[in-house]
Amino acid sequence: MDGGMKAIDWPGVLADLAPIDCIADRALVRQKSRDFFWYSPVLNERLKGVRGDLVVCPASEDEVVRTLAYCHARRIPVTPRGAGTGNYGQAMPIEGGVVLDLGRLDRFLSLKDGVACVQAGLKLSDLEAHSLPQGWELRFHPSTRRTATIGGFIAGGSGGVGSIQFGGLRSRGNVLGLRVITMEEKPRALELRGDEVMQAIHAYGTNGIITELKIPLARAWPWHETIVAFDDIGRAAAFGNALGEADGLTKKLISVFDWGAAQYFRPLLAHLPAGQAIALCLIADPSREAFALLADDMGGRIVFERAAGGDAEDIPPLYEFTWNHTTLWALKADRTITYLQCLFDGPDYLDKIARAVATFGDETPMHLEFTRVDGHVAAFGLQLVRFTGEQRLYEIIAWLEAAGCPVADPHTFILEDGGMKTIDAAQLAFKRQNDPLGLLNPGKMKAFRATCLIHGQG
Amino acid sequence: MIATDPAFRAALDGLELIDHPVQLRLRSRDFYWYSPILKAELDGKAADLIVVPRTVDEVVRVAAACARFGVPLVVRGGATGNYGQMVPLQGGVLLDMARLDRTLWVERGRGRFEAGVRLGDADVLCQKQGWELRMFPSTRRQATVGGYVCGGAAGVGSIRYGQLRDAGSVLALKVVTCEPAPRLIELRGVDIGKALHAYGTTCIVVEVELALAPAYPWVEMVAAFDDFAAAAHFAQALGESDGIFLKLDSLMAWPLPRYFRGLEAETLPEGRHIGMIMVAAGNAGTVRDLVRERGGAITLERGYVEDRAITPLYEYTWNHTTLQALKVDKTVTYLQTIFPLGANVEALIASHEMFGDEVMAHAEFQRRQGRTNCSSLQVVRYSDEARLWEIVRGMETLGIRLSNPHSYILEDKGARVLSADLQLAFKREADPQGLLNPGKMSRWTAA
Repeated sequence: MDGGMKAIDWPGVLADLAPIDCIADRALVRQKSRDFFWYSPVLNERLKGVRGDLVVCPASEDEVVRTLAYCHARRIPVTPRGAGTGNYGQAMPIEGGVVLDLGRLDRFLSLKDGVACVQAGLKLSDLEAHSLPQGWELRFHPSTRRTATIGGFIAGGSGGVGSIQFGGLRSRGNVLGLRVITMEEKPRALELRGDEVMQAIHAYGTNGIITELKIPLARAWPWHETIVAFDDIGRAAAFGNALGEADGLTKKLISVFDWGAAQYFRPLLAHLPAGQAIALCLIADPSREAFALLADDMGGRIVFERAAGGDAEDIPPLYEFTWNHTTLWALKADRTITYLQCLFDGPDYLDKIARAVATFGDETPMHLEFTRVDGHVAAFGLQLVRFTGEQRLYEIIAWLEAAGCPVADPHTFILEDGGMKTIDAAQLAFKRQNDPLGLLNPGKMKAFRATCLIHGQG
Repeated sequence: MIATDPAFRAALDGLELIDHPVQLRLRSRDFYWYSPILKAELDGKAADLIVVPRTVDEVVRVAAACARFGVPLVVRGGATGNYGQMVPLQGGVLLDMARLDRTLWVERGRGRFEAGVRLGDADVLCQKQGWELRMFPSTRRQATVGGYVCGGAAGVGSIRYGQLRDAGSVLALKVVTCEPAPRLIELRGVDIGKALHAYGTTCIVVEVELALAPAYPWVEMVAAFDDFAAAAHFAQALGESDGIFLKLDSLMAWPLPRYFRGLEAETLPEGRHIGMIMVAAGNAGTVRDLVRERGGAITLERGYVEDRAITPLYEYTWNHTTLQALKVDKTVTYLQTIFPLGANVEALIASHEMFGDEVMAHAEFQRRQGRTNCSSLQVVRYSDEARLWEIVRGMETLGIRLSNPHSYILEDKGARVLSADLQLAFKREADPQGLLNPGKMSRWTAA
């Protein structure tokens, strides 16, 4: 694939869209057409050649509307982009066309009673730079906090650091409102409130362009970072669960790794006992004492501590070893590694974890992110995988599914084949209304493609 | 009588002493009269002498004098307990902590208070620095910090922070032993269990260090439902909504709301079951959506403000629910029950159907072991003791366990064996003569 839309006069488009800022430089366009899809050898094969034809960088909602109307008239696909920190090609223009870089829509609009109104392209770290001085922080954020945008997170993410307190983006109450621009002859601005927001959350921008968001924040804590070492992954996982269920302990992160995964955390290695499993945790200061007692009680040993704002030998924030950053550390050392995403849930979820460990051993070094799901504690498995081929990968996935651990396949760019599992009727209906021609991020929503074929529009 | 023993009085020289009979009778009571059974057992029990210490040193002097003279010693906070936790069964000294009321410090999410600080005062003071109490009983305006940790268990805030006994809630207790030469001991970690919820039978708590929560702007809401099952499922779903930041999630079956004075009639529609909610301002709209989805209607929504002139919503919840009913109808009493984790809503609905209006369902939703459960303070139309136990047995068939509010015995509250062992061992060490709140710890009495 090379741009893909040769029939379009791109220099003419650039001129027509002026004074909206555009990028036509081939190398830059290619760079802005990519995300971290290469974590997956499967996606790497399929997406490595993908690139858009032109990057458009609107600086206001008016410029977004103008761009969409223009592209609608010429049937040019538009794929919105935040910071490109996704892992499954969420923001990659697989049919070419325009990449809509929303990074300049970066205003922090207001903060009242702990509710922030912001533009979609605001970086998460910049959002907190505004809110922290007023005592508020994000309820949860991805490990890419320092680069990702709020709009990109909500359109392409699911949860992260803080989900052990607040659940994920799909838990009602974590996103209060979205302003979405439609892809029509005359684009409309829709205000989504309450559960309506679910139509556009984690929809990869296939059914509208999010320009503004209203999100509730949490009161900020100076989080204390700590690492606890355990003899084996079973003990570490049991500790993760106990800490997660300890209502009296205020925490923001519980990430557990066996040595097979932890061995790649190069900047931490001086602190990690070789061969041991570890838990990386963020703990509020008043909970430190009870945290240490619990760790000790469960056979753990604290091997690293850093007070909020403290320095420690150029070690990055601990959250940058967790969630999808874990895979990145492993990939830095070994390009053959990839990963999985599954949910260990139910009353026997620790047993499920133990069985997965026993079955696959070092073929899938264990990585767990403890989180709240529907009012209880569970763990996402983001196991590393020592990749030997697509067939073996799907054997492992099939085993997990059969063992009652649903897999959100990170080796597909298709919305429904990833985390969503089923065709989301509301998201599909929303797409039909807002993007009847199927020009927004085409090729990602399978259900829409299928219905178009049926109706002869494809 | 000990109060007039000149040698004993001399040992207390310079301390504030009260021995007026009316004061002795009034200050020796708590809210045990919610229970007709306890009322019969405890009416007339009173201390012989009240001492009002102003410093920890004065507490030490009182403890030393009681130990030397063999005088029973009972500690009083705000006397807002419901089972005679602080009612002196054997007379002696009542140590009224009301003047030991200094806030020692509030910083970095922790607060250290003398035992007699009122919870409401502590909360307001913390709020000025951006913090608030994680939880408090419905008696927040009268109860003390020390009384709460010695006689309470949970409260408004437990839907987020669980129980007082959960690790990390109470960070430290400074206690005075009852010996001729009393010792001052700082309890931290698991040792907190030696004094927590021990009714002051093991030692005298003089200072309390609590983990605080960051202060939020709160909104009070009342939601009304036609159907009890729908209301119960709503309250559970609300508690399980990880993205809704809550402080209170209470449920009252009709006709309980009929007893609630001070709220507008349209807030408590005839025949409707109600939820009482405190939610962070940012999530008020989310609660509104959930109520609508579950077929309910919001009948009150107002920002929470600290105002003496307004009865806060929490004063209709927890054990205030029973009080509101008793203000109108002296013949009611209540139960206190614990529900099976994972099956609590079904049990709640079944118990509501089993007894009809004789037992008016009232549930307080709270976190237990990371999950949403409820405990219940059902209001009961009392006929006699035999019928009361029949109701309890009926509840037990549904998996609902009694935490008996008709007994002043510590162990009858379902105290776990582990903490009971810890407390008995500590009492041997800190109160070898058994002078502290005698008659309340049955295992000591038996030994």
